[in-house]
Amino acid sequence: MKLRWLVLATLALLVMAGGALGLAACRGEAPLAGCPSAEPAAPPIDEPVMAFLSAARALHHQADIHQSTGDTAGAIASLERLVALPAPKAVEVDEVLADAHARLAELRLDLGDVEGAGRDVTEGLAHVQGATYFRGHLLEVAGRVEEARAATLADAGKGDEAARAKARAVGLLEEAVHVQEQVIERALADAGTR
Amino acid sequence: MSRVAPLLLVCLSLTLCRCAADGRSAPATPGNAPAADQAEPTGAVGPAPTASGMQFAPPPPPPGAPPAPEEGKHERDARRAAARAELDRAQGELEAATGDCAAACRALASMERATLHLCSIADDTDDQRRCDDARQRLTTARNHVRAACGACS
Repeated sequence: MKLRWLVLATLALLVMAGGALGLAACRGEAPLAGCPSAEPAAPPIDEPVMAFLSAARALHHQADIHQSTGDTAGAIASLERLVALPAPKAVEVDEVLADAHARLAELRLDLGDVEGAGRDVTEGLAHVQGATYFRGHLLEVAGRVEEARAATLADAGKGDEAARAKARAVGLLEEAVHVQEQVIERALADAGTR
Repeated sequence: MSRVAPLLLVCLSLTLCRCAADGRSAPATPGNAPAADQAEPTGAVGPAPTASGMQFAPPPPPPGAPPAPEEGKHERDARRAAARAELDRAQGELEAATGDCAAACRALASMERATLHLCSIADDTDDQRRCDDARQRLTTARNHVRAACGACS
């Protein structure tokens, strides 16, 4: 849970830093569009993104409270509100949505809703490309969804379908391992070059 | 005359001492004209005008000589600013490295979960090979993270 808050707080800080850079650019001699001297009405900070991140944080907190009292359905409802929020175009917003879909999928798996969990994974993956933590986490959850599907199919006596679901699970989990491995390598390389 | 001679001697000695002291920091200026760096303490570029209208360019310090007091102040200020900039840069790097370690730890946790699930469903030779490969990668990644960041909380 703390990690989720940390991610949201970091994203909010990044957006604020971007606003600060915008303000710094406005200190140049030539008037710039969007700067107070040129257009006083234009806000220096991306308010829709800030508002989205703030609402997302509040809804994650609400979901935490529901989860702490064992109300999984309540937690799902909070996160469904989050993913239904009007989403401004920004990488930070996409990452928050991917993370929310991953959490939704895990909660649905807890309730045995394999199909619903699969839909959330698919929707989440649409928000992230490349080797990022969020994509790796979604692949990990996707593997667990297929693992659960394989168990359900095996219980229903559908051996062939179960075997195919299991094979998909192995492939997805393996891909998750590879993606997170790249994320770690890159993070440590960044730390080493500073 | 005998009473005046010692006084003259003392005055001459004091003058010589003063000249010697001034000579260590800056060469003597001609006559009574003030040195340029004394007349212009603001550090402005260019020679300061003198009372006679003549201008004296500030002479360069002799090689190996310690800087003049004003020059030393500028140098100290510059050194202090450089030190502050270095401190800011180091602090930024530390914060960035902390963020990188948090990202690495988060990814490592996901990698551990994925490997655990992968190995829990591996029931044939091929799956077992993939499980072993994932475990090997996990061990390597864990060692790298531990070496760079210490333990993940």
